[in-house]
Amino acid sequence: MKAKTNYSLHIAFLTAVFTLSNAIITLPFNSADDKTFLGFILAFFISLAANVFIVSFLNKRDFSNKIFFKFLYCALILLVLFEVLRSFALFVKFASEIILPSVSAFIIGAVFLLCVIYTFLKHNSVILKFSLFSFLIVAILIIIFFILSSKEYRAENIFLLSFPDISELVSQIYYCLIGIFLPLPIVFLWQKGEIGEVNKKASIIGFCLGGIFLALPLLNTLLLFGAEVSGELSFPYASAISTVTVGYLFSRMDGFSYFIYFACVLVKITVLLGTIKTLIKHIKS
Amino acid sequence: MKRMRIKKILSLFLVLILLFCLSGCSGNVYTQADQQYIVSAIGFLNKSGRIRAVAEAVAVNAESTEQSVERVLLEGEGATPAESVLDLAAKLSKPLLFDHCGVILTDATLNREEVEKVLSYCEENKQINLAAYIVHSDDIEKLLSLKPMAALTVGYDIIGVIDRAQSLYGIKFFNRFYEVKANVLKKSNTFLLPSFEAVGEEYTISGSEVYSSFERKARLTNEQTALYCLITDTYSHGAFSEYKIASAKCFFDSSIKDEKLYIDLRIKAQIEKGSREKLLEELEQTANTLNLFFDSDIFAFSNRIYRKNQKVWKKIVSKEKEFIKNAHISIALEDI
Repeated sequence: MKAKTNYSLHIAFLTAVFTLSNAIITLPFNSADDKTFLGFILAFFISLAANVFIVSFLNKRDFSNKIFFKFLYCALILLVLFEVLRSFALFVKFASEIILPSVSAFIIGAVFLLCVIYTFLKHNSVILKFSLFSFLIVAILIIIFFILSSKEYRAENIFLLSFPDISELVSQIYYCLIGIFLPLPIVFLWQKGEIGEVNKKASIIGFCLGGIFLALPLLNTLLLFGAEVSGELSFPYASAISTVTVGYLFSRMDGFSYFIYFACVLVKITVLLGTIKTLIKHIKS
Repeated sequence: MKRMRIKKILSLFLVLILLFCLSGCSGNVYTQADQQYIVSAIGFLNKSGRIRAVAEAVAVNAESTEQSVERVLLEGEGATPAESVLDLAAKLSKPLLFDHCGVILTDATLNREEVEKVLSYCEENKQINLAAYIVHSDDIEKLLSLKPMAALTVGYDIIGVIDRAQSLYGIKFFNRFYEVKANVLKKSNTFLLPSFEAVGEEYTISGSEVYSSFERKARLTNEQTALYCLITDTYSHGAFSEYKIASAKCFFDSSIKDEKLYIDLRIKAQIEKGSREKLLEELEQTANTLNLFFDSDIFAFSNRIYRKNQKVWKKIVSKEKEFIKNAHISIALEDI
């Protein structure tokens, strides 16, 4: 008899990659100011508490037989579909503006779509293994670029000018919650549909890992450019990576940001499509 | 099992190594070096009311075995920086590549709007890296036409000269494109650019230029630049004139008394005892003269008041320029 594979580590890394995919390339948002980092930290803890509750809630209940929830699923499908289109459009924009400016966005989109369809049609173990593999590379790259940029950091870029005004802080928390942490319960829904139950421990560890590895690029960008400049850039982290030069040989290492975002978005969109599939199955049943 | 693990680790490294293939300027259509002009520096100046772009580029000639790398100076004119670059590119047989452009030069002939347009152009041209150095020179054409000293091009030499000057003198220009942009977005809108001079067949940093609201406000000598950096708390460690400073930190305080702004600068520096009094005298003279003489906040005091003392900032915000120009500046030099 074949032993059941333990996917705890994979699930943790899948959750981490999903968390990263939401904002790694766009963080800090256009609304950035000196309270952005504090807002991010607070939003992370609020989201952590909410996610612990959501995971427990999802594991305790079975919604498949209740008609009311079928309407809820329909609404959820629309929301997830919106997230799929948003992530897809953002990736194509990023690739056609930063990495391949002379290649048509249509070709980039088509190639990426093929990758998404391929991973979507594979067994869920494929995306779990891909997540594990990609998270390790993404984490290594984030750490390397954080260290390589450090000689250009200016500590004053993240100093708080004054005691944060509650309304300003609330707006930063709001942007982080909406832009980074709100789509996260989808990955728990995916687990419920594809694996049968949500692995609470792995999911929370994955979320924390995602938060930590999202905080590093945010800090990297803020310390390098400051909130004002970061807020004006379309893809701040890619710009931060492009400034890194190692010796005379290695410059313009934008390609690494391409992989970081490619891996994250591929995982995210595959998970989103998997969630839609699960929801449709529930509606049909 | 162990073999599988080694395989996985190896595949991780393989992906990391393969990622280098995506780096550099590989995203462009002409991926071969001999099919393009690689720009190392580009300068903008005003000639009879039109913007003139002068670019130093490297062309790789794959057909010649004797001189495979050729340095060329390209020129173009237009109503805007973008048009002048377009004019420059239109005359060429190969496309221009800005991905490795390390230096952007501005000239004294450019007015405030034109400097702003140059910076906007650099921001819009996605190929130009945010880490490019912005430099001032009064003779861009001559500077870029000189023979390079150590590197392949004058542009890359300029980067080396700036880095060396910063580490030797202890000054910090913060003249990378993103640093200039950050200073532009601050309250004071003041930035400092190193100034390059071509004398004979050589070129060197002759001092610096202070820009405020995109307008060239003051020209400083190398010594004045070091004093400026001490006052603005951007000095690290180095030697200038007869002073050797191991480390320095400037503490800023401001207050308002009888409708007059008082600025207190407490500079803690590790310096030889004998030269302390003279340095203090020079610092006071530089701070008061430059602040009074130039009609702008060239020391970026408004930014520091805004950051450190919101109460004072609120009182001066309506007449900020006037308050700063008439401010009483006192400087204390202390041992670390």
